Amino acid sequence: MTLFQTLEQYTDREAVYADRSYTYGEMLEVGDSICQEVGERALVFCLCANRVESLFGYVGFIRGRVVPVLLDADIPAEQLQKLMERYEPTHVWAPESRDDLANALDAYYGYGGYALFETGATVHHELHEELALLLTTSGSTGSPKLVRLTYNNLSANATSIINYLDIDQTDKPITTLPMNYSYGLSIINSHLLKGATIILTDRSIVQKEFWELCRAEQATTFGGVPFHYEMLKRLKFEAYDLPSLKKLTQAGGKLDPTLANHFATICEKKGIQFFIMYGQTEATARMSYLPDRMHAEKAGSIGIAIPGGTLSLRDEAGNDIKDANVTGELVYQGDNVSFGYATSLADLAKSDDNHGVLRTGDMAYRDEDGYFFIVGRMKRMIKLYGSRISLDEVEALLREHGHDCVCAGEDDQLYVYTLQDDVARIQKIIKEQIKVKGVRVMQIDEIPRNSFGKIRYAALPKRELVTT
Amino acid sequence: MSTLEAYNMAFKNGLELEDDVVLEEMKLGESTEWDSIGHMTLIAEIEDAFDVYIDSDEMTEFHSYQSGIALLQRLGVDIRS
Repeated sequence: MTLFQTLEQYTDREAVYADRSYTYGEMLEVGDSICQEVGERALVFCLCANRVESLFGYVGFIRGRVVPVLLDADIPAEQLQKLMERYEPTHVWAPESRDDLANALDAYYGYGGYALFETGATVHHELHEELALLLTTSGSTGSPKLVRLTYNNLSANATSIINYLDIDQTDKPITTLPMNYSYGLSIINSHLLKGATIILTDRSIVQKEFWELCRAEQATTFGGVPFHYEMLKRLKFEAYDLPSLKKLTQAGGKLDPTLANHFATICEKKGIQFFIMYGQTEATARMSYLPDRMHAEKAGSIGIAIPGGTLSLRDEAGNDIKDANVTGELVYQGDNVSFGYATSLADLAKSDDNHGVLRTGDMAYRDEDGYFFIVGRMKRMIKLYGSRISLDEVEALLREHGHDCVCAGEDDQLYVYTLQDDVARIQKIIKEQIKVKGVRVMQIDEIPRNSFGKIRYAALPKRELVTT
Repeated sequence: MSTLEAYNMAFKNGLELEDDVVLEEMKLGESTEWDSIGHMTLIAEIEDAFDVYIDSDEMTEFHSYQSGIALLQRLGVDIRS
């Protein structure tokens, strides 16, 4: 059975509050009709913002077994074009204001500010029968690598989240994350499944309107990546009077221990439950959570596996680590582990590569009580404001644009090194293509290498060297 | 440097703007460069440039180029060229 198949039971309940209130009945009617326009099971692109149009489209596609690739509504035209050439979707559900689509394609159906663009693709998509949804893997590098999620993945993860967060009809999340981002989507999925109301807004927590909406509509919960919590601290969240707020969640990267402690204390005072969680798109969204009130005792921990899942550790030889306090690769097992990746149209026909087991690429240990702690990453990946970015992919993207660079960094800090006098041009490409902030581009004289020619990333400067 | 130049500079640095951007039209949440991440950097730039502290309420009410000038005025900084 597909996710959302049972939403009819909530017909008269409020599904969404956006510019106004929308019932589940209205959402299903609109969503199903968007999907019917597409017709048979096919691959489509769904461009997402926190608006009813993209949400209803997504719900309709999933219900009608049309497979959507969820992308950011603001994806640069060039990146969208490349993805369209590679995956040949039959339709693109997108804001009608996008000139790149409106000028090139016909649209016969619309709802609100969205139009269903027909691409004219004549290809017959071979889609594996269990394939439900495709999400991008890494931030916004425009990488064509997608995660293949099944109907079972979505149901399993949503059910587990409902269980450990104890979600019911009275919960009312307000959006703080994009819905094409696995964490943001998991909040939507788990709440819709219980007939709760979602407050959809594109406003961010630094805007007064966000908090006014939060108060007026009595939001009970929201999620945030580490950056959100930094902002909340700066905004003096502790002084906010929001009596309806009952639950806060955090994922998308490791929260600084001081911040974690700060919010654990504030939340306890305010009677808000606070959950620190860990996940990856490759596991639909969530894999572990630190139960509320465990923050002091297990500071810095990602907690325990979500219900229905198991976490274990493997040493370099691939053997299970049974002892406490020994570091190894974190491995997750559960029904929410995706089928694997897709990098081409042909991959969409593929069956399960992972068989329910995901090697996370994170290094971790387990304490005597069974709580897990992440100590590092195996791959050259960093988190930028909650999104995973592969440093190799950033290098590849810059190379494609004619710049040979080396990338390094840590969470929320990306450094780009060039030997040429092209800093300004690189900055421009990063801004237009990756749309991330806080990237430091530096011109250096030489790339430090060891005797085997391997780059010594640790020897790269963090600041421009000032020569006097 | 005049206070207006310093204010403009804070915008350009804080939001990583190109030279051809019309600053007077910048709006939080609408201009692509001025998202929540840019907002925090912009606030820090302005605080540094004028040696002021922008509190929580002021931070959420600051949403346009003009409202920033009004905010600084209240904090005792006169923005003029």
